Amino acid sequence: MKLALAGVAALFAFLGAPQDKEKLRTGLKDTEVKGDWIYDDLDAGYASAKKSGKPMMIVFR
Amino acid sequence: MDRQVAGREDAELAQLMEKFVTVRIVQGWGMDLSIFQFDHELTWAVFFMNADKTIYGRYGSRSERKNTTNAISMEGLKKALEAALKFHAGYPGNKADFAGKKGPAPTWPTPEEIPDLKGRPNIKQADGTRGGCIHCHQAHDGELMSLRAMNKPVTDKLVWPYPMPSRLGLTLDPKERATVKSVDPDSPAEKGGFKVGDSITKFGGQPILSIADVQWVMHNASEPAKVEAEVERDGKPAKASLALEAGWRKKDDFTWRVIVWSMRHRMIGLQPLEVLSDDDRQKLGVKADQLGLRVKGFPPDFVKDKNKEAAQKFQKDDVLLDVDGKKGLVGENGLLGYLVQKKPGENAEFTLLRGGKPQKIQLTVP
Repeated sequence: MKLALAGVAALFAFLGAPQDKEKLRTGLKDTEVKGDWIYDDLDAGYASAKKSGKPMMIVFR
Repeated sequence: MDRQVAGREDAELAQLMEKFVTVRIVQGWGMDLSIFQFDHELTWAVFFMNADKTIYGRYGSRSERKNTTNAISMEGLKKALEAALKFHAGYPGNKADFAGKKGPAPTWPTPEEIPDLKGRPNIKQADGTRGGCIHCHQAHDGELMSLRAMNKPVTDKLVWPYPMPSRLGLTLDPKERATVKSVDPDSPAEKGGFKVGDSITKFGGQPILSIADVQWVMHNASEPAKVEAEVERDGKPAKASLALEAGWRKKDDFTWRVIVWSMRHRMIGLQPLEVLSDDDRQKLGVKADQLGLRVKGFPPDFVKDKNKEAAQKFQKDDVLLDVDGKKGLVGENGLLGYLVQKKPGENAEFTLLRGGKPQKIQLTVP
């Protein structure tokens, strides 16, 4: 159990806590975002692309 | 465009995007400039990449201040996505083709390390709310102004970055990947054998998925140079080329860029200059090879101290004719481009008309 919690904590540290991303989006009034976006986190994007085998589409706005 | 993409409003686009890991970056702080070299002054840009950071291509182009979307389109973006998927399907067998998509080592690894941008905060505050931030466009401004301050060369590539191929007579269709829409008569594009309808598949040896990819090759080309193109013409492969003469970049007009505000305030301490009409040029006796730019106003308080000397010496309605006797500079593009390439501390002598009478004033270039 402790190991699982540590894993979740590490994942949040790596990806950034979801509520922080939400605050950032709200602060930027970036509210049109829909679907499966990785928000403002390139490292999480690389990790996801590596795992899924998909190419990356990175949008700079 | 951003709203449509962020909100996946177009069903066909959304379907294509499902085949990608989609990442949305909202600030320049921390951006790895060894990888993310693109036209940082775009309001919106896309990178297509592999997880190992190999770059498949770029999307996003602009050439005008007011019309920000004249060089991009939903159709063009979808075709770029399809091309990126094709490139990815051939990976890693085609990896060597993409080597040129990564640029040279940057002078500074991230925007926040650029001296002119030191002290700017990270948007992501500890509590996740928005702080101040480094905008992508500030990376270009910061790099140029920092290099000047360090007495390093300010190259044409830095002042006139990411030129549009249309400046050399090659207009590409924004609704396609990189398909020739028109070729100007007697232009480098025509001389190089481009034809209307040609679809550029490789340029400078690099696979092409967008107009931005063509700009990338031109941006990094040495000069003079001849860039070879592989095109598809009437369903068959053909070849063309684009000759880049020495000084060719100056034909581009950078005055749509955000950086022009910073340049104008720092170099001449003025607000946008008015281009004289043909009638006014004739009335005032301004020759064809003279600037003919009228002073309309001075910067607002928050930037008025960027060039105090200039603010004291120029007057409203002065008509600038030349600087340092240099003839043939065209518009603010020519004037500011010339001044920003002078070294800090050098003198610049302006010839101008004040009340219709010629005068000369000296400024120290900051």
